[in-house]
Amino acid sequence: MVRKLLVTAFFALSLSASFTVYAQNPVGASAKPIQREKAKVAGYDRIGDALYEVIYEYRVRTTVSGKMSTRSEGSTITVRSGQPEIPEGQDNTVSDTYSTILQFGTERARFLDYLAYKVDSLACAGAPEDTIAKAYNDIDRSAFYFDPVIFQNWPEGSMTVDDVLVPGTFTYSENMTHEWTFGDDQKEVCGYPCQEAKTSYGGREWTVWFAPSIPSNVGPWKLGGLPGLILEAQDAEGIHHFTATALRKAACPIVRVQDAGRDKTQRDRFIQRKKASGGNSLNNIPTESITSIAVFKNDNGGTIKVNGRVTVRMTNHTWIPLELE
Amino acid sequence: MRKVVSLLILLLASYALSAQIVIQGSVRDEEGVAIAGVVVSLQQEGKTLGYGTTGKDGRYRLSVQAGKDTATVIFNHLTFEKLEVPTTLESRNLDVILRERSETLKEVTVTAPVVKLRGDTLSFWLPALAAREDYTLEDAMKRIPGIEVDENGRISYQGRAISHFYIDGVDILGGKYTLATRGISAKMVDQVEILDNHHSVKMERNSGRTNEVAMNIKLNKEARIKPTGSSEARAGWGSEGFLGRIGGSLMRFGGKNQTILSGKLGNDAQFAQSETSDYFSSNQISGKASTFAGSVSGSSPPLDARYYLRPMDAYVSLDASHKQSDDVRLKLNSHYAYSYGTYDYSTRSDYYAGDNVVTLQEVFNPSSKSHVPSIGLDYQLNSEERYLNERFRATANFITNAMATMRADDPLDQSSSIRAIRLQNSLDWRKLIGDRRFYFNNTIAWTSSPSVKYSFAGLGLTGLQDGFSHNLRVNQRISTAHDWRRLTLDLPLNATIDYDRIGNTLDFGDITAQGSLAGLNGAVLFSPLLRWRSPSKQLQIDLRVDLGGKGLSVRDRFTGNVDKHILPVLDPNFSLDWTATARSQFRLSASSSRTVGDIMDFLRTPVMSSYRSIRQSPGILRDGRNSRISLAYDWKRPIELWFFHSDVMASRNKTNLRSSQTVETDQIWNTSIPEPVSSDGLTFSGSLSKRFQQTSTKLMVGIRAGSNRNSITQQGRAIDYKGDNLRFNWEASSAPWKWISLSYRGYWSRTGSSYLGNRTAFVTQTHSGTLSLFPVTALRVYFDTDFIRTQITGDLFKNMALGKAGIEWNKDKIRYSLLVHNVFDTRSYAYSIFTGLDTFSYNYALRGREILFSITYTL
Repeated sequence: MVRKLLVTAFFALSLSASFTVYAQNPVGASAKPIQREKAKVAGYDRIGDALYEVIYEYRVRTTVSGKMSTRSEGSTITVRSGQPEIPEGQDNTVSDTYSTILQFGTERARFLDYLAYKVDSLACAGAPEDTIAKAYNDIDRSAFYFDPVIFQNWPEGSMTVDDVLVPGTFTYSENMTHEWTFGDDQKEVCGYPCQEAKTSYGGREWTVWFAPSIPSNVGPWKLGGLPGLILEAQDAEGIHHFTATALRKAACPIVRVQDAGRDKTQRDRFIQRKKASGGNSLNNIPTESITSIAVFKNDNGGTIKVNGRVTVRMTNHTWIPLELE
Repeated sequence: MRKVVSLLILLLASYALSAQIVIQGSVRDEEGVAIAGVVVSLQQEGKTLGYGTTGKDGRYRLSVQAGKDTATVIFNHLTFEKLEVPTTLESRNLDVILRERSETLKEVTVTAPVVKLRGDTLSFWLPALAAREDYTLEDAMKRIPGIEVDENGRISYQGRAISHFYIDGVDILGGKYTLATRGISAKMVDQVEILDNHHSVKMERNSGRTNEVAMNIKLNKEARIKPTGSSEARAGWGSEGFLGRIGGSLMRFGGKNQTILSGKLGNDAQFAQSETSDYFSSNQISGKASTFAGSVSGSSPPLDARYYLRPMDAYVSLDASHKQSDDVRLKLNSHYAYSYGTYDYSTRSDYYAGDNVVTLQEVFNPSSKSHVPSIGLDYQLNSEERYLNERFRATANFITNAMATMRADDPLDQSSSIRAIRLQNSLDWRKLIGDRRFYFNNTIAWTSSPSVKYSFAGLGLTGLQDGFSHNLRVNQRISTAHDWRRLTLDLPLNATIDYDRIGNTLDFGDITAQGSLAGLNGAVLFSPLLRWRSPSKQLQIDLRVDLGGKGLSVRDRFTGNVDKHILPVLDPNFSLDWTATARSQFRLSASSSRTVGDIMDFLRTPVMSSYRSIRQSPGILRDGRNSRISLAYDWKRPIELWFFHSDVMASRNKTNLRSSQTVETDQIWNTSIPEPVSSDGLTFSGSLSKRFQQTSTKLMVGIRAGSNRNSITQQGRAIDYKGDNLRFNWEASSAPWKWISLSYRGYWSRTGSSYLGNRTAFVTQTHSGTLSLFPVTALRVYFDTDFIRTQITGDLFKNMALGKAGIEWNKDKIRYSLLVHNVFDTRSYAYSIFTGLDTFSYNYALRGREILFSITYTL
């Protein structure tokens, strides 16, 4: 108990010291590459302790589409649809890979992209400002980035989801209730014996593998509520696949970035709007809502930072939503 | 009434059977504090009947079907010991106390997938691909399908040579990457990344697809945080006496500074030139005067030089990179390489001389000594909007060759020497403003060969040839490019001017000649490029035309004659790059360019290329046109580790000068005569490779076929001749079990020549195999053999077997090895080749059996 108090006090002191130099998403940033200034800092809210972390490889099987990414010309954002999707019969399947991480403790859990976690853990460790700024730049430049941040069992019995719908950030809550059916199959995942279970969620049929020897009812993304940690999950069509590749002791607590511009919304409305926009492209964005654009290049295309807050990844791979409804 | 009672009993029974039972209670620790987040489950014969989690108050509630058998309630928590409580399946209250857990969860890292594809980046997890006997990074890279490494260490992917080599994203070595691939241990590397469609300049990343492919090596954590490297000592004995080697490398990666320091000294094998070769900008200075050194260096067989060359090599190299900021980097590349080698061989040369064939038989003992110092400094600013690269290079070559020759028992000594130096400075500036790009490039290079000599004495003759050349080249390029949605227009203007001074003297028999020329050679070219990209960026078409002119003015410093030429240039270029699917890519290119000679065409003084061969230019400027078309196709399924590459190329070369050769008993005269001639070539190549990960097996098959048609004047008569070659090569390597590893590779080739209705062809085949056994983990016993069968003439074939065997033992960071080289003590190697209408047969003396013991320590 004493050890826990000391650890908690240490993290609290570290966080309070490092948050003063930690900046996120300053609104109205210029079109130049983002410079992290001391004056524009955001803080964290502490959500809970983390005891362990699991790194998941998230793969999406998709296709090369004919739709071109967007391009800005001055104050006009124009979406150009190029040639139609590549005709059937042609082999244009690709596999996009994301690195994600689940932090969990005895009560709560957080699931997010690994690059975002890296920024938080650098801040947690009191890393120098330029190191944190570089980690932010890695996010801006990354071609593959998992936007949503999911807090499981926060509030108790519910999930809180922070997500991005260009040009804004949003949050909503939903209940953590999945109806699971246990299967008979067993296999080893990430070095742990796992049992099979199935559920329906978001318009997809999910098959997961959970480890009864890891007493936690959480899992990747929004999947959870089993008597063991979910280490692998795949939808019935084989499009979305989460696989645990590492389990280790946690390095920092579960935190939530403060974002005054985050809008509260309802889950169903958000899912429908995101589907309608085709993922995070600049489709159907009112141009008057755009105040600034910054373009970053990478070897896989590029990214566009809109209003200094949200990033659009330019890609000609078809976006396939995790939730259909 | 009876029916009602029966029905009531039935209802009560079914109610009893389907009744839900509730097991509930609280979970507390030893101090009575409620524990939240406890996973409570009811298990029966491995099946979960129900489960839940305690809330903040530590309470739980399980509602399950009633039953007669017993079950187990399991209480599990991350920080408390698991508790199992047997129970009957009836409602009850069950409060428990949990004890704190002393053990934590087992930390696990799963082996990364063997290959990952993200966009244009293909990553290979090297530990999963490397074999146990692979010591260096180069050894392990050869296991990766799609990647080929030649015997000098040059790397190519799907038939394309790599354009950049990075270590953790940093370009430290430039083209000298063999130092890294042979100096870094395979155990230090986590991933090998192939970066297709690579743009090394950040601001160019949206300017369209490139044909460039780069490689990035990702080191493991240990190699990044502390210095790494190795040191090695070898000692042994062979037919030539003592053999030995000592060397080491020290490398530091990570942080703002990267450094590679390495050095080696030894006489067991050649290494200095291959490990310090720069594949992107050569260390070899090819000054114009190098032609005056003749061909004293001897010829090399298609065989590992280790078998026939007796060397003494040494080098020291320092390469360092300093990161000043995210976008700015300073780099130093320097080395000094010394190489000496000698060997023995004999030849039979059959020269076509009209109605008869002139045959010469000679025995040679060439030796070559070279000193190559080189230093380069780079400053690079590479940001999203600006690029600046200031590069300075200084290189020198000091080469001395000697050849002791025996011709029909008559001795003859030949020697040559080259002293050359090159200084080069280039400035490359680029800027991106909105959709416009601006370029400015300036290069100044001074190449001087103040002394190039060739001399011979023997056969009752003496000869001495002395020459020099100096060249100053200034190249200026300015350009602007504009990007629209799908179009790019690039407008470069390029101006180059060369100032040359060359001269030679020849004193041979009754020939005494002297020549000295000074010349200005300039070119101004405007090369607009129009690029179109399809909306999906899968198709890219480039159209470019070079417009302008070339001019040449040469003054003979002895006679005062001046030759002036001005030639217009109109050279079109077309290329198409189509990514048909995520797995297939086509590249089509076609070009036609005017080829013009230089100041050397006006040196009318005879030039000796060997004691029996003289070349004399007619004093006419070479002028021709080279046209080519090529088509390449790549297909891959990287996750399944399938790779296929093929290309076909056709070319035609037209020139105003025809080669002419006159063969006399003691002398061969080469010149050019002013007659137009054209030559054609057609080549096809393809390779398919696949890896089966379960048995660590790599298979590769390749084919290369080509034909060419040319025409030469021999003994005053114009003769058309054709050449053709066909080659199959294959490779298979496998490690099906822990204790054995096998590899087999080979090739079969046929080279033919036909002229005047005669056709001759030579066939060669090689089969090589390596067997490695691992009786225990740290011990490797191996045997390597080469079987070569070559056709010398007509029905005469020669078979030869070469082999080596060795034992290696690894203990901690030290490797002990014992090697027996040329186990069968084979002493000669023979083969034949064509050059035009002439045939040459060679027989090389090989080093005998050798034994070598070595110790290698890895940091």
